[in-house]
Amino acid sequence: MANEELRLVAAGQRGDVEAFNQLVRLYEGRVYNLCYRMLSDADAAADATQDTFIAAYRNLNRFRGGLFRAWLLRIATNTCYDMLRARQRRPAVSLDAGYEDEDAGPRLDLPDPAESPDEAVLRRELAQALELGIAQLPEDQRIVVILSDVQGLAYDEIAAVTNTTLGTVKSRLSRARARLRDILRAGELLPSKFRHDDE
Amino acid sequence: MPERDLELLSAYLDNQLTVAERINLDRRLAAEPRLRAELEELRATTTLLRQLAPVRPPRSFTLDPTTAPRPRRFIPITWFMQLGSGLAGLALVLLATVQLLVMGGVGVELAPAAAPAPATLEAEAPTVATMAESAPKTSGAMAPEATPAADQAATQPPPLAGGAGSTTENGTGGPPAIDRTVDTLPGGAERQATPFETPAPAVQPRGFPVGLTLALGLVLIGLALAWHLASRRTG
Repeated sequence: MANEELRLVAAGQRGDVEAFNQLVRLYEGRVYNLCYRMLSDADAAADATQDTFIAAYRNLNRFRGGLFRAWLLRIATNTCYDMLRARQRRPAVSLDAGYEDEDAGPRLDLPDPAESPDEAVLRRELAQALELGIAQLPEDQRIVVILSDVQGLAYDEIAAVTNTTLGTVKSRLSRARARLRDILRAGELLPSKFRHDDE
Repeated sequence: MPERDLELLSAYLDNQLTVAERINLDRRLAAEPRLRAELEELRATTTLLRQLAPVRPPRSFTLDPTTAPRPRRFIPITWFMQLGSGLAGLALVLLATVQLLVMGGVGVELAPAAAPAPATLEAEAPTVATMAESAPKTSGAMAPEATPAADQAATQPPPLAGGAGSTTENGTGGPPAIDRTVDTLPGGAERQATPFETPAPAVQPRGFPVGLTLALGLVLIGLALAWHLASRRTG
């Protein structure tokens, strides 16, 4: 897999767009989801994803081996940071605009036939609370929790993507999780068996 | 809950603790129900996060071969600059080392010693007798015309024993004495420097001071290394 990926990268570096497009197909879901969670806006996430792939292709000759996925996600992260900065300068779009956006693309959480209506409602509430909680996190904690707990990356890869150390990743992740835990606890969305209300 | 404990619990969930940390935390978890409850809450939070459904991209992001920009040719200019500054630094360090070896380290010591030379000369200047006494020593059998003698002295510093004379051996302390000689002698030995005459400015030693060369070289090497490490980090 890694060899095939490197072969595609090498072909892309020689100007083979079709080879690069195979990499796009491989990673567009992951990149889009990262941008969507970071920006909380489907349109902005689509723009960021497209910008990421264009930037990646233009700068493909700068890729010097290693994990292509980490390199690509790093470009995506920087693109999202740029967009967030631009948004702070011109705050025209609500942070949670994406949640009601019909163009956001269908979620992949198809209802489980065995799930009761109550469970489905709870699951939806949970997802909304988590998305809102993620959107409220500071950017540096948000990216780490998305990469770790939503996308399942290892600490060292997260450190490579965010250009930080393992210690920083650990620290940001623990703070992000604690904050999200607080949000869930406040909304009484944590499963009751885990809840302890002694605070 | 202290932040350190939260960090330990979070890393515990991801199997990122050292063996010693894990053993210690297991012991605490067995003894502290509050810590255990925190761990379970964090575990529930991460589980819920992992269950968050992915969002399907609204469209394909593949590039159009007809409009896609070509990958930029990457000219490793930073690589060349790192190499260049590293090599320049190394060359300067080598040069300074060679200078130190050739001069036996005198050059470094002389840089501060060169400053008092004009004062010494000024003290000697008021008396023609002193000049007349010193001139033959520096130029051997000095002819009445002083310039050739001075030229000769400039090109071929004579060996002098002790005191300021020894500074002429390396050419750093010498020039002030020679210039002074040239200054006073053309008018004949009769020209007498007044006590109020402005002292001649201290003539800088020729070439770069060895210490400065060495420092510059080390700085360049340090910069090249730092640059290299930074570029490795940023990929």
